[in-house]
Amino acid sequence: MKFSEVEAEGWGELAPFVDTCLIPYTGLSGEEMPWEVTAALERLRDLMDLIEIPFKGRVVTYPALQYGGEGASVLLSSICSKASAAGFAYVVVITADHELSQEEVPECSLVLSLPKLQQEAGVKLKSAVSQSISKMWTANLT
Amino acid sequence: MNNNHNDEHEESHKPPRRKEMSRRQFLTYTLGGATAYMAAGVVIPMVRFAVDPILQKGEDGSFVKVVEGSKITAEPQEFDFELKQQDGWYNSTAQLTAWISKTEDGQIVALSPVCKHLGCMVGWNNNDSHPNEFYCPCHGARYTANGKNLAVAPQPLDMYDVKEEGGWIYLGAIIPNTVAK
Repeated sequence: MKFSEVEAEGWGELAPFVDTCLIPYTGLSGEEMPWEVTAALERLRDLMDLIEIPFKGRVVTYPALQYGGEGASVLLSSICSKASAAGFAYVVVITADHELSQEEVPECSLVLSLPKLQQEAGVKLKSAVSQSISKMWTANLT
Repeated sequence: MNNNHNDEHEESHKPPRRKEMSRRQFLTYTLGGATAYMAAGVVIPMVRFAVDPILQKGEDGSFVKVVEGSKITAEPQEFDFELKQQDGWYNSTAQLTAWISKTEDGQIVALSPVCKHLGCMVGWNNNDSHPNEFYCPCHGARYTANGKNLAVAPQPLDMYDVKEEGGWIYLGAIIPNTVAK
């Protein structure tokens, strides 16, 4: 679900179930033309749909970090750390246009980077994303 | 002459007894009618526009051809399909998924995969610990092949309205489960 769908009164009831925070990272440089920005946002939205729809009841999407550049991974890591401190057991960074690895964002639980996912030949994107999320959740149980 | 004058004077104090419409009434009705007619000419198209979606005849398109009936087995199978939907004046296409199977008595059941707990998507046989069940990866809700809730979820899975025609399965609106017992 989106952060805007959660109301203060209902959060106490939801919080035990919604333990995963999704941080979208667009990584724009500022040099893009308006339609290129639109396309970038649409690519990210399509990728996020693969998490937001099947895992709606356990994931809450936070506002995106729209611009990238130097220090972006440090900022992302800092955001992840704060989201964890706020009570989220898992923090997932998702990006459609950037090759981002978990080593670059050490404070997050998982990085889903479309270019990296596409490099895994023969893997269907939908199931790859789904498996990554499920694996993250089950890994912590064992 | 005098008498006549007195008669007229007395007559003028009596209430009018005309049965026919007076000139004043005629004008009132005519002008009122014309005004109402003109006002209706303005208001009726506006009202018609406001309620237009209600007046539109529902398309048969609320049912979507999904799969050949012969392909349906007792084991639930996943099918994706598109449903054109209208929200007021806004038309959109929803991407939907149904898990279709056949019950022991031959009835076709098409279940919605949206978990009744918190809205995640369930899958059939996707958890090794719970074979031959629908399992929700979010909080472990479980359902039978007919969608009956076994754990966590408070209600059975919803189902699609099903229509069989010419050997094909058509799916319609999402309705509460009537097969789960």
